[in-house]
Amino acid sequence: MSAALRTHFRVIAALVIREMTTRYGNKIGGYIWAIVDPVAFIALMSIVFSAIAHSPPIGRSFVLFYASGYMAFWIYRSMTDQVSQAAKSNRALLNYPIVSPFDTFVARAALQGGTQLAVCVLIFSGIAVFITPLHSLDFQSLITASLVAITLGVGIGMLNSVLFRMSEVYQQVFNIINRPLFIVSGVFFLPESIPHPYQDYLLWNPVSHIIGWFRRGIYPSYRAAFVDEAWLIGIAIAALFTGLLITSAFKAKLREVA
Amino acid sequence: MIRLERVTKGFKSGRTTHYVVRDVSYTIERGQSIGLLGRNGAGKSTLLRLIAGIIQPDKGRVRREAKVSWPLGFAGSFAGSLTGEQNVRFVARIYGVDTEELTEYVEEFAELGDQFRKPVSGYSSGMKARLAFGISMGIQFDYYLIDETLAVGDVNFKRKCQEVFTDKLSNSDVIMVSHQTSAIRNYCDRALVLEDGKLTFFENIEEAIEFHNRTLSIR
Repeated sequence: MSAALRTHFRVIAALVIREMTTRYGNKIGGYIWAIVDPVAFIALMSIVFSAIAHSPPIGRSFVLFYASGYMAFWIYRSMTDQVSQAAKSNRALLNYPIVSPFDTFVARAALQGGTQLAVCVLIFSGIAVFITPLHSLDFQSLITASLVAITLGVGIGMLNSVLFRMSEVYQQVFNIINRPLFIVSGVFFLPESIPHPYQDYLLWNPVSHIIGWFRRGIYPSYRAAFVDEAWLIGIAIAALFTGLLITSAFKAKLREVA
Repeated sequence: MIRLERVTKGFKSGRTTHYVVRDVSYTIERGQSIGLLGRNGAGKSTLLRLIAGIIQPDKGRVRREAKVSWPLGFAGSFAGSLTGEQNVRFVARIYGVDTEELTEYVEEFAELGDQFRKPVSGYSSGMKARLAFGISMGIQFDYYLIDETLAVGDVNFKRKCQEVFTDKLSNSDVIMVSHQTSAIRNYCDRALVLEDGKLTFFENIEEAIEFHNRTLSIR
């Protein structure tokens, strides 16, 4: 292994430790909140929708339906949020020339990916034990869908870390567009249930494909025929490359003191 | 050795570009400690950041064939939410030195007492400077980049800094920005004056200071 690569690994490891201590370590409740937040949200959605509907769009469990949608959405969304703030929240540490903005992205993504894996395992085992048994999960679909969500999230996060820095207007516009994303991505409905031509409009949103793919892994009988795997993977990889390109072109900007 | 090769760095403000350095070539040989003079806003700190490799030149390049420290200064290189101790551990990890050894050294050196295990966000700028100085003295560099931090703490602390620093200078060199010409006289044997994007080299510190004072009085 080359010296430069070893340095990157050392710095990334140090940043992961630093992030863990500030995000979770200083207060005991830190780790608990990472899990309480999605659990509370899924529970709330389940209660509200079971009051207004007889049964969820697939299966019998409201909790499982919203958990499958929300966790897939959350993997993408939380990764984007975390990565877009990575350089900013480590700005002081970027005064060490040995620490590069790239290292902060990798460290954030690694820590967030680990957290997501832990939270997903906890939530779905909780559901399997207390709510409804989960037969024949399709792990290949779950893992691929999650990896695509992570790739897309990291790419857009890196892109935003630069664009937010350059333009406050962009940040406002992005937030406005991003807010209804949760509603239109199919967390609490299936895109199949939406009539044409609106369904086609919805399917321009890559997150709806991610959720469909993820649900395929939870429900063995659900096909999610609308998911365009090749297109989705293409978008995710394109986002990652654009993110890498933009952040390396504007490396100096990310280091500048605000 | 640190070699600046036709380095240009400027900042745009509106339509005009203010150049910190413009097509500057200069080689800093090992064994030379250099004081960097220039009026306020000439871009001495930026030049130090270029030398450290925190920022990249617009044109040209900076070659470092030596282990160069980060610029020690009040700008702050600490995560505020971490304690002093955690910041020390972080720096030890990134530079690959023994965490326990460095922690012990800095705790003893920086004289922060209980505050060492409290978040840095509550530190005064003097405390931060003491921490920064302690950390960098605990790691062996070929070049120490100093941005106005030697004069921190009380008389005793200053004396201690001077002792450690003078000791360091037997193996290492320093590139120092300071308003206090006395510090530059004490530690440096050469000087560079940064003015209007140009670097002027002086073998003799006194000549540099005189030149610097003259350019100050012209403006």
